[in-house]
Amino acid sequence: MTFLFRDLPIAWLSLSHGRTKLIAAVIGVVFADLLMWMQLGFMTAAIQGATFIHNLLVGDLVVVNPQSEILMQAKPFPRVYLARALSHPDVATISLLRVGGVAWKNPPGLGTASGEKRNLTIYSIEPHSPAIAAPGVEEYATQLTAADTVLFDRLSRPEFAPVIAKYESGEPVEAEINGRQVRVVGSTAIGASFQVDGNLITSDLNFQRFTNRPPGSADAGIIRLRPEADPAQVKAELQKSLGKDLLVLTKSEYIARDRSYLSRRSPVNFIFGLGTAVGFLVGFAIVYQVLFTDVSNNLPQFATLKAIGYSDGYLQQVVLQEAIILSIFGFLPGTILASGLYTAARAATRLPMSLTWDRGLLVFGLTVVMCSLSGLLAIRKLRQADPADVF
Amino acid sequence: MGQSPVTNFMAARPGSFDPPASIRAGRNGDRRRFDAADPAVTVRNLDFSYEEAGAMKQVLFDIDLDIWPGEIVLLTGPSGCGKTTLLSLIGGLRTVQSGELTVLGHSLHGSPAGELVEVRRHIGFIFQMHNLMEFLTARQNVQMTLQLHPGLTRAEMEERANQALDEVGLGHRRAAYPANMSGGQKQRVSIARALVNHPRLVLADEPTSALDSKTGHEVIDILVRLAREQGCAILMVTHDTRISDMADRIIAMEDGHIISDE
Ligand SMILES: Nc1ncnc2c1ncn2[C@@H]1O[C@H](COP(=O)(O)OP(=O)(O)OP(=O)(O)O)[C@@H](O)[C@H]1O
Ligand SMILES: [Mg+2]
Repeated sequence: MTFLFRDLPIAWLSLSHGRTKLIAAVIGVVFADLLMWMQLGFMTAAIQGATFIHNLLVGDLVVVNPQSEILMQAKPFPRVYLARALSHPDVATISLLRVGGVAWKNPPGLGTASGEKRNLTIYSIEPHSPAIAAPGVEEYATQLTAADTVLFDRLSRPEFAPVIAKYESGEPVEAEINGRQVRVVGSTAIGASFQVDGNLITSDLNFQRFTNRPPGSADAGIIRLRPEADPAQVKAELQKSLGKDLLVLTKSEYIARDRSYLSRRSPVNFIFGLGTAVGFLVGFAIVYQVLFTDVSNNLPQFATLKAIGYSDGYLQQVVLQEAIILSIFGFLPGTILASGLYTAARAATRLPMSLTWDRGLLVFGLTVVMCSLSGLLAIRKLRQADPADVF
Repeated sequence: MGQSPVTNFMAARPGSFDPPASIRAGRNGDRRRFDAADPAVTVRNLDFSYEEAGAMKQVLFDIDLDIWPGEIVLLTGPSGCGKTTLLSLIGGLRTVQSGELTVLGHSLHGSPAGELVEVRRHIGFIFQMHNLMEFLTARQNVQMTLQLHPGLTRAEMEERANQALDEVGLGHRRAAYPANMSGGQKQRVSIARALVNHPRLVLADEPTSALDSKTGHEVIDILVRLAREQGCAILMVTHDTRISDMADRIIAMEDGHIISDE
């Protein structure tokens, strides 16, 4: 290791001597890192965004139809199936949840989307025992008992901002859902995602009016336990008494189940994985080009170093060091820029984008691999530096 | 016998090397006086062929040659007669095919590549083109040679490199990059680079051909003076007959043969 302090930092001196070369390479790495940060960020956001609502569920256990793969496309089950669960001593309450899609027609004169029909997700709760603990639900629950009333998600996509603004200014907001006149009686906060532009919450009775779903069914049963209960134990006991027609999960199991379905079955992993790969390849190509040119331009000098007694290994290390320097120099500004873009993306799309340590580690690891591979490929050019040619 | 010449050399701290009077004696010194030491270079029955378009083309024939410590030997001959080839063989830059070649106590015939690299570390090379690293300053270029040998700290190496540049008259250009130096200055840096380790043997191939004759002379003067001070042997290819009076011996080649050695 002592050579580190004893020897001249050839890699750094060589890189920093040609400013344009260094800048070109760093820009390449920054670009690649930015792309990787964004794509990986979208990948996670797409999956997290689809499970916002899961985190807002009030209970400890969730009961679903085993054939149901994900809440958004839940297969309903008859409510009466849950009756047996109520008799379990540790069960405090059971709230029912239903989910559907409705065509929402923005009131005219409200921003870009005015008069347009948009698909929104609508959740049904029981006003006396809401399954969702989203902001505003408790406050406005009783108002939802009135016919044709909804709560509007203020974290819906930005084009719905005028709806929220109008509501917040105290004016009545009238809109249409599946052709019915409805009134916004409150706001809530859930969040948009790739699949969902915005959300509504309504009562189970209104839900039936909007969607024509048969009464007496549920998409999920949310069970709240008594404080001293052991969720794992109750879960096992409930599963036994409810039988094969229902599946009992803890809340975290339920979230994991839906996320895993999304990762497996939706194209997000493929699409954003591909985007990440493109970033990697672009960075790889640029860094390779720079290192290769550097080695080529310095071929006589490298040959001279070999002639005076430097080993191949030493020179290969120099090229690899250049690669590592580039990965560090590109990663840092790339990450700073990415944090800016994350903020912008959050504002524009309402997606849950944030720089996380594990993603940072992944991006940095990919950057180091990307640069090292370029370096290893450029090293092959070193073989052409033949010390026999120096005289 | 004891130590080999190379380890002897390594033991003598550079700078404290005191050349024997016989070495300083110059061109007419009697070769017998070197008997005490082994020759720096011994060549016997050396042949060499290049492979070209599948055929072997012999360019060196039965070369016999000794270079003694401290000797300054010029190698001359018409273009294409094999001077560079011979120099690169002695420098361990090409593989010996047949014959015997011993450099600074190492037999190069059949040595593995790693040993050739090791031998090269003890030879000073001066090239036709200076071959300095463009991205290193004069002092850093000289340091590159010092780094090859363990034992010196960074500060000591910088000190020694500065000293070497002083000796070639470039004390004021230490921090200059090659791009900002004249041809003569660059060649003087490469002399400093070759000599800073006090090698026992310097190989130079037409070191002045890229310089005008006045600058070329100054460069050769410096090289020869320093070599004499350090007692290092020089084998130099040159077409410049005017520097022949500085040499101890002149070897003439033609068509791959040595035709005279005096
Ligand atoms: N790498 C090579 N491959 C094949 N043939 C070569 C190679 N290098 C030199 N030769 C040939 O070997 C012969 C000797 O070349 P060499 O370079 O040793 O001559 P030289 O005496 O140094 O000439 P000059 O004074 O022009 O530098 C020439 O005929 C040359 O064409
Ligand atoms: Mg030649």
